[in-house]
Formats: sequence, structure tokens, C-alpha cells
Amino acid sequence: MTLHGIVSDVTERKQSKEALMEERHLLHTLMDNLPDTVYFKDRESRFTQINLSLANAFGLNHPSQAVGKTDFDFYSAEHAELAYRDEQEIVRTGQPIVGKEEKETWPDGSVTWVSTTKMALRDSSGKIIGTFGVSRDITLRKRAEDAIREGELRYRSLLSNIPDIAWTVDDKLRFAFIGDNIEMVSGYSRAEIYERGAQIYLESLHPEDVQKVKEGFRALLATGQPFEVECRLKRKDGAWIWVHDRAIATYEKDGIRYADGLISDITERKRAEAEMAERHRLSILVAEVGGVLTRAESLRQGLQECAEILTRSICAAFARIWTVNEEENVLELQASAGIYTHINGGHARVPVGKSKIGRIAESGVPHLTNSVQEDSWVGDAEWAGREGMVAFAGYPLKVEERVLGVVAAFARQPLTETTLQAVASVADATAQFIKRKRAEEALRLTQFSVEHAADGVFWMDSQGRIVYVNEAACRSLGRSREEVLSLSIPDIDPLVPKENWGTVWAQIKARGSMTFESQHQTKLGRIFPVEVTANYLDFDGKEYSFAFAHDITERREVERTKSELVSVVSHELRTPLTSIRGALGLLAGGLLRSQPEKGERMLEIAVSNTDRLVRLINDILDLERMESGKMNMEKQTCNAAQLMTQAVDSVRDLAEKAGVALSVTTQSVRLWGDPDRIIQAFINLLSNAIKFSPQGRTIWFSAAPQVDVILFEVKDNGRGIPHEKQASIFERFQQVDASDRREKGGTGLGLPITRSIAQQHGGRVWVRSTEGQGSTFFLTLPLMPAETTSVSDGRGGKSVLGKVNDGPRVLVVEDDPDLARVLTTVFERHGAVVVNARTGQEAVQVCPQFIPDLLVLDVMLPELDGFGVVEQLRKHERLRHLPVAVYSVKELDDSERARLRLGESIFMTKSRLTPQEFEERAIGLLNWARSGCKERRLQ
Amino acid sequence: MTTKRVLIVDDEDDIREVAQISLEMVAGWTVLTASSGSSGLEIAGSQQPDAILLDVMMPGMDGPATFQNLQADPAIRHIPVILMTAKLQPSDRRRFAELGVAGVVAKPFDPLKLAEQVTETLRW
Repeated sequence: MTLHGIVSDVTERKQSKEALMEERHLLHTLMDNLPDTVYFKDRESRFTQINLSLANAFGLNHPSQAVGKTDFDFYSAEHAELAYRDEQEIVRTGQPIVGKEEKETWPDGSVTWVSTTKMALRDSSGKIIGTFGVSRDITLRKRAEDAIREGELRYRSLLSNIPDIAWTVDDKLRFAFIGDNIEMVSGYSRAEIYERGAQIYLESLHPEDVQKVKEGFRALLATGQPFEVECRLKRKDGAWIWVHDRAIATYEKDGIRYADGLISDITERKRAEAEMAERHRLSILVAEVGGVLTRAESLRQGLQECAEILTRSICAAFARIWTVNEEENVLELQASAGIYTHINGGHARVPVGKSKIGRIAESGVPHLTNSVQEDSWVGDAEWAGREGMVAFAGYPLKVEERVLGVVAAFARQPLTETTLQAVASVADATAQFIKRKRAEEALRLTQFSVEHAADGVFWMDSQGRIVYVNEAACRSLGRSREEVLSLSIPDIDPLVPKENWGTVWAQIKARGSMTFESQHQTKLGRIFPVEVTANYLDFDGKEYSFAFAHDITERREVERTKSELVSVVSHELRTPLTSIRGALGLLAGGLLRSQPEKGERMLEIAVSNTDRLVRLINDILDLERMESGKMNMEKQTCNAAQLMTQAVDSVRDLAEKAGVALSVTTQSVRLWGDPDRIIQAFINLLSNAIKFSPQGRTIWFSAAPQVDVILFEVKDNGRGIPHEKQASIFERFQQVDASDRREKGGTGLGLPITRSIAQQHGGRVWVRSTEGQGSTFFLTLPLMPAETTSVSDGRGGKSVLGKVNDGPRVLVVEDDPDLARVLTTVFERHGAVVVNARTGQEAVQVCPQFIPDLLVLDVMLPELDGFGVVEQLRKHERLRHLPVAVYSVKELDDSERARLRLGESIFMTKSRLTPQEFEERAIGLLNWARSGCKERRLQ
Repeated sequence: MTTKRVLIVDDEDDIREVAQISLEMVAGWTVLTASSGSSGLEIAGSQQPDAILLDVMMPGMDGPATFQNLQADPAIRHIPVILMTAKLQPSDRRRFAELGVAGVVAKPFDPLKLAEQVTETLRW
């Protein structure tokens, strides 16, 4: 080697050493500034060099302090051991460990994470002399990763524990994710769902929901439109559930569109909602039924509407309502709605205790079933099967344990508990309704009875004020209801003056009920006797008296008449008895032995009075039997002429003795009657005429057929009958003069017997008489029906065919005989029975006996004019409302018309009417009267 | 017993006759008769009998009316009157008592006891 060479060599070496130093410096600078830790270890894993970062981590002041130490000096033994093993492996194999994430645990327990790359350290010959490694602290990253992992675990756990099931599907309807809890809800495992995708979901859908779900999905995936649907799913076990499914977002990843959603099981909510809806519907049912039953006018209408509502509301096939008829112990069908609406079929009457309805009524217990066809109570299972009936609900209609009826319904679907509760409520309301309607009906009947009672009914308060009054009471008082209600008892009862009311009230209250006789006063001041029954009543804390007032005028009159009759009869019997007793007493006493002529006389008196007594008793008995209807009339067809002749024969001796002539005009027409009784009536009239005719006079006995009656007349020229006696002579023992019975030998019962015979034959008897001029007695008897077709009306025409005694009766009051005849003809042509009165007086006499249906009245009349006639007729109860046709020469003013009015009246002025007009108007009124008289007769 | 003069007023001839014989034969009284109220008053006025037997039910003026007329006449009002009646009910008896008659005899009467009844009634 040359100097140059040496120099050069020394230079080169020098230069080489400098370069090496430089390099080492660079390396140290690099190592000490690296954030990563760097170490070098010998083969025994003793540190030969570490950089500043690692020295800091080891807590050393200088890297050189680590030289010769091992990991066991700085780390936990656990970590040091792992690191040692790795390094020995590298030393042994030469294989590096690259990027290993190591968990470093330190003696103080702290943990750090590093990413370590360890390699073999070789010398220049390639021999492994140790290891070196670089570690990067990844603790922060590791912690972040752990936090993420933990968060995901929690999220999953959370998803698994909420009731909603999260899912993610892609646009091919494959499930990218489905929550664990799907299995609990659907019965399918996640694996099955992942495997079969959304297909399993679509197949499980209720057919009705498939469409809307599919459309929802399509819109969601195509346009991102939010998806929300409630649908029914069939679980794997076949049970149906309701789910709420909604997708909340869609996004794209790697060209695939995804949707995330949530499914919730809402079966319970749906069930609750359905129940709520049903409750609501049924509460409407109950309210609707309540409304109908409140408004219903009749029982049947209310029950029918109720059945209809029930049928509709519970979706029944039909519903029916029966009510109990307690008298017959039977249920009567009142209402039927649904598929059967008739109420007169086989179920119209169900005996209590028979069939299911009758058994419900008997037991008072509802019968309910949702399996009709297996139910032993349902009689016709075949029918139930054919009609598809599933359920039956029958409830007794009970009020306070009393069964008033049964409501029952058949349905083709099961009836829920809620429905049955509603039917039970309806049953309660219906039972109350039946009870109320029955009470109303009873009340209405009572009100009607009270309102239309013949007796007066009054309610009064404790002050005597009248608070209710019925129609009869108003009528009897001649006041309107308003008037009566403004009065008090002292205003209408003259026997109870105001100052006495307190006493009367106290008595009514103390006795509860009392009957007493009092008086009532009409508006016009008429006082009439009444029998009052007053009852005390405490109603809602208010005191009332409920009183009936019976007008006893008639009873008083009957009592008076009866007592008078008894008194008269006893007098009439005692009078001959007094003579008999006296005469026989004197004979028996022997006082007259010395005077035989007086004794003879006494015997005569006894005999004649005995005869008188016998006649009297016979007549009394006859009359009594006739009036009580106990005498049998032996009616047969008889000839009027023969009857007249026989009667005349019987009285011929009497007439001869009296020196009175008899003129008889018979009519050969057939009668239907008892000949003996008719002859008795004729004899009575004839013997009266004979008795009261002066010697030498004539009695005319004639007969004239009318429309349907034959009119007999017995006319005398005797002394006549005073006007005031004419009405009473047909009453018992009412001879014109009491001395007549003595002089004429009458019993005082002849005319009453004659009247009774006439009445028994449907005829009448009356008299027309003028005192001093004689009397005419009229007797009508009905013709045989056939006779009415052929009887001449005596005036050249034929009479109208009519039934016996059925034509209206007309009394024509006209003094002009020609006009009277014309009027009579007019009315007879129209089927009327006409009687003519020639004077006002006669009209007043005849009217109460004849009782016409129409009065035809001339105003200008002898004795008593038309005004007087009407005034007299108004006194008779039966004549007060008689229709009147008045005709007058001069026009009548309003006040005159008022005085002539009885019932329906017409007024005609003679000069202003043609005969035809007169006839028309009069016949108009006659027809009106005829309809009226038919009505009266029907009654 | 002094001989009395008694007037019988009755419209029934037979009763009048029987009563007359009875009083004459049994009591030996003098009997006057009248067949009506008005003739009775007339005879009473003219004959001044000791007593009058007066029938109640008579045509025209009946017994009570006749009695009232008698009471109104000072000349005859002192004569005691006994009514005879076949019509005797409790109400009639009261009515007659109110009239102020001396007594009432019911028909039929016992002809043998009629005079006795009159005597007792009038305390003869």
C-alpha cells in the first residue's frame, strides 16, 4: 500500500468513519423523534437499545438506562411472557411478526394497545443476533373500536327487547336484516325469514290486505314514499294477528335500494279497539232503544221498533218480543223483526213453561248459547242448521222479579259478552217500558171511565177548590169546565156554605170516605138533590178529596111515587075493607038482631064492597104482571073487525043501561096481538066512554089503517077531561074525580091497563079532549107486516111500504082541517105516522104521549098559540130537543124564532113558499128526523 | 055518658052508613053525616056538633083542608076533630099531629069500639 494509498486509505477510512458517524447521528435523531417506540434486543430479549419514546413509556430518563433490562422489568409478567415468546420464535425461525395488535398490560394494571412489527436482527453475516421492533400506540383507536362494538351489541340487544321488530329489505324483497323478536311474533325463525325473504311475509298476509301491502311496498321502493299499513298476518301456528308495519327510510348502497322498517304486533290494540267500537255501537243501541221506548205511543209500536233496532244492532237474524198474559198464563207475540216479521204464526201464543221462550218466562233466567244446534232448549235443530243459526239469546223482561215478557234473538254469528250485556240492558229498558205502558193503559182506561162516568166526579183540595171535574159534572151544573174549575164546593153546594167547609173537610179526612146526601146548584140556579161519596186522599203530601156526585132527582121522584103508590093502593084496598069490616062487625056484634032490615043492608054493603075489592085486586095484579113483563101475551093473527065486535058485545048491556048508543065502524085488517088483551083495552075505553056519556048520546067506535099501524078511536060527547088531568088519567088511581070510582064503579086502573096493553103490542094510547064537549081516545096497534103493502091510506092513494112501527112520527098542529089533511098526506107519502092536533092545547096534550119525531107547527092557533105550545113542550125532558117545522103567515123576527125553537128547527113563511118548496123543506127536516129516530131506536 | 052529637064527614056512602049505625047503636049518640068537606063545614056551622069524624081522602076539599077551614072559622073552631083515614103512614101521622087535630082513627075500624075510641081521644 502506498502513501497515497495509505494517505488515501487513511483519508478514505477517515472519510468512512465520518460518514458512519453522520449516519448514526441521523439514525438516533430519527429514532428519538419517532412517535413510535423502537427497540433492539439481543437473543435473550435484553434491550440493547431503545428510542426516546419507549424510554418515556418506561418512565426512564434516558434510553441507555434500559440497556440490559427485559420486558419483565417494565410490563406485567403476562404481557412480558407473550412478548418474550414471540421474540424467541423470531430468533428461532427468523419469521417476522408484522402489524400484530398487542395488548400491553402494565404493572399498575393499565392497558395500552400497540400495533407491533417485530423482526430478526442479523449481523453482517446474516446471523440472528437478536430482534428489533417498532410499535405504534393504537390505544385510542382500539378504545374507539371497542366503543363502537359495544354500541352495536347494545343496539342489537335493544332491538331484541323492544316489541317492534326492525327489518331491512332490499328492492328484491330480500331481508337484509330482521329483528330477533320476529320469531316471538310470527312463529317463524330469523333463518326461515332470511331464507324465504319477503315471500313468507306476503304469503302470511290476510287476503284482504295483500293488495294494499304490495302497493305500499312498491311505492316505498320506487319513490321513497313512506309506507304505513295495518294488516292481518297468519302466524306459523295458524292464528291471526294484527300488525302495524311501516318503513321509515330508503337508501342506496352499491346500486341496491334498501328500506328499513318496523313491524309492531297490534293484535291486542285491535281487539281493544274492536271491543270499544262494539261497546260504542251497543251503547248507541241502548240509547236508541231508550229513545224509541220513551216516544212510543203504543205498546206494540214501541216493541216492534225495539225489535227492529235490536236486530240491526246485534246483527241478529231476527228478534222477537212477547208479553205475558197473566190471566191465561201465556206469552203473546207483540213484535218480530228481521227475517220473520209476522206476529200471528205458530209462536204467536206460547204457554208459560213450554218451549225455550216459555221456560225463560217461567224461570225468569236468561238463556244464552253460541252453539244453537247443540242446545237442548232449541226445539228445531234441523231448522237452526238449515238457516245457519249459531247463537241464541233470550232474556226475561223482568221488573222487580215479575216477568212481564221475553225478548229473544237468533244470530248467524256468535254473540259476544258485550253484545249479551247490551241485550240485557235492552231487556231491562223494555221491561220498564211494558210496565209503564200497562200502567198508562190502565190509567187511560181509568181516565176515560172517570171522564165519561154518568155520575159527576170532582177532585177538590183541602180548601174546597175544585181541581178536576168530569164531563157529567159540568153537564149537570150547566157550566163549562173552565167555569167549574174556577169554583169551590160552597159555590155549587147550597148546603155547604163557606163557613161550614172546614167541618165537612174535617169529617171527610177523619172518616176517609163518607157518603151523604146534599144538593147541587146549576148555573141558572136550579137546585137538585145529589148523593155524594167523598174520599180523602193524601197524594204527594197534598190533601185531596175525590168525590162522586150522583143526581138523585129521579130516585127521589121514584121513591116519592112509590111511596105514594103504596099509600094510594093501601087506601084503595082499605076503603072497601072498612065498609066490609064495619058491616060485618056490626052484624057479628048482634046489635042489629032487632033490626033485620039494617042487618040486610049491612050484608049488601059487605057483598058489594067485596066485589069491588075483588075487581080492584084483579086489576092491580093484571097491571103489575103486565108492567113487570110477567104476563104472557098470547099473540096471534087476529082480525080488527072481530075484536071490535066482541068488545062492543061485552059492553052492550052497560050501554043500554046507561041509555047510550054505540056507533061502530070496523075495519077488516089483520093484527098481530093477544085478542083477549086487545078486547080488554077496547072494553076499558068503551066502558069509560059509556060511564061518562050523558043519557041519549052516541059513542063512535072506529078504526082507520095507517101506514103500518091501525088507529082505533073511541069518541064520546061526555063531559070531557079537564086539561090538567089529561096527562095523569093514564096513571093509576088518577080518575078525573075521586067520586067517579064510587059512582061509576071503576077501580082507577082501567086506563093504566089499557096503556100497558098498547105498549105490550108496540102501540100507543092517548086522548084528545075538550072539557064539556067530550073526549076521543086513540089507540094504535101494529098491523101485520103484509097488511102494510095493501092498506089504503083512506085518501085515495096507496101508502108507502114500511116496517111495523119504524116510520118517523109527525105531529101536525093545524086548526084548518083542509090544510091539516094536505100536510098529513104529504108526510104519510114519505112514510110517516101522522097525528093531527087542531089546537095548541091539544098539541100540548098529545105530544107527551105520542112523542113525535117531528113537530109541524102553525103559529096562529086557537086556545094556545105556537109560542105557548113550544113553551109548554120545553117543560118535558123528552120534547126539549124535538125538531120543529114552523110556518107562519107573517115573517118571524129573530126573537120570535128563538121562542119557537126546540131542537133542529126550520121557519117558513106561508106566502113566500110554493107548496112544492114547503114540501121539500119539511121533508128535508123529516128525513133528518128519521135518521135521528133510527139512531135513537138503535140505541 | 051524656048523649053526644057527632058529625061524620066521608065521601064513601057505605063507610058513612056503617060508622053512623055503629055510633048510634053502640053509644046511642046522635049522628049527623056529610059526604063532602064543604057540606061538612056547613052542617058543623048550623048544627054545632060535639065532635067531627073527618075522612082524610075526599074529592074536592080533603080532610086536612076541611079542618083548616074549620080552624079559620071562629064559630066552629072549638069543635074537636078526629081524622079517619085508610092511608096511615108514619109521615101522615106526623102531618096530622102538626095540623092540631084531636086524634086519628085508622080505617078499617072496629064498629063496636069506634065510640070508645072517640070517647078516649076526647076524654069524654
